[in-house]
Amino acid sequence: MRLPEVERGDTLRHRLMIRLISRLAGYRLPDAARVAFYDKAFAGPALGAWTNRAMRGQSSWSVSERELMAAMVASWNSCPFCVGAHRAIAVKGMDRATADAALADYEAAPISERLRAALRFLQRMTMAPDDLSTDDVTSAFAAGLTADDLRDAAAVGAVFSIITRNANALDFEIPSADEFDRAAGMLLRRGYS
Amino acid sequence: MGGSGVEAGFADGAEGPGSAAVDAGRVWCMSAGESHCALADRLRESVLGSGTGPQRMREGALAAGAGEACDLPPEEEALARLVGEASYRVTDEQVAAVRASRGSEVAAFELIMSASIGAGLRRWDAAARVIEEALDASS
Repeated sequence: MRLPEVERGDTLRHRLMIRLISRLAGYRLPDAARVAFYDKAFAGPALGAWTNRAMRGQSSWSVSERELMAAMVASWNSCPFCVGAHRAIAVKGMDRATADAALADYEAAPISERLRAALRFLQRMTMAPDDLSTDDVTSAFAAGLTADDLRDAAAVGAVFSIITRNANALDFEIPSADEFDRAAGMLLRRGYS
Repeated sequence: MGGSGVEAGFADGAEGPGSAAVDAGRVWCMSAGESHCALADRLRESVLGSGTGPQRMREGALAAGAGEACDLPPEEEALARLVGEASYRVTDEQVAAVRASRGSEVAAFELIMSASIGAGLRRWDAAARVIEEALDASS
């Protein structure tokens, strides 16, 4: 973490909460949660609200499918923290081998054609947004997606385009696999806002 | 959108909501009831209308993160553009330099967050636009 005040907490209450949660959980509170505690009068609450809507709100995509989309966006953005965090949540409701196959090569992975079409759209949106065209939408519709399905996927893509950049630029500390797994349980119970 | 609560954040006379950055994102929010659009708008406005660091810095970082022109000082522009283009290449020294020049950790945080949000909203705007265009073409 490149900003010590974010790591420590910016108010006495936040510093105490960070310490208490770390002690109760038995592991260092991940930097993503520390960022959520910091500078709360700024954009964090608005980002949290959209993230929670995208990841836990009403959608035809399951929570695991959305978490896999988040991990894929993180992979395209070279963000190891977010790949680890969201893969760990995805595999709570999805076969571990399937999630790993998608992360390695989603075109060949044993996932639904619907999800594969959403990932194609998300990859272009993430890596070459200026190249997105109505052809990408038409292809997704042909695979069975509705406009709402595509908007819901795009919202996951948008919020993780933000979160991954923040994580990389601030250099989030990478938890162990066991810590990712335990934090995943907390994020499933509590959501993102 | 751009209600009184947000407008109040621009009482210093700086450019506020209604700027090109905000309006560009609104064009594709075809229905007020689409919650992703509303949440994207709220996020955009939270960068422009809230925060501890200077409003011009946040607006400049939002633009640079989206790959648009900005009038930030060179080292801040370089950091904001790198956050947008290849955030995994940001260095300790770049963040420390902005922190030192602004004399505040929260300003460095808000610059990075604003640039990240600029990059994310650019992608949302592009996706929302092509979805609406495809629906228009098929109707």
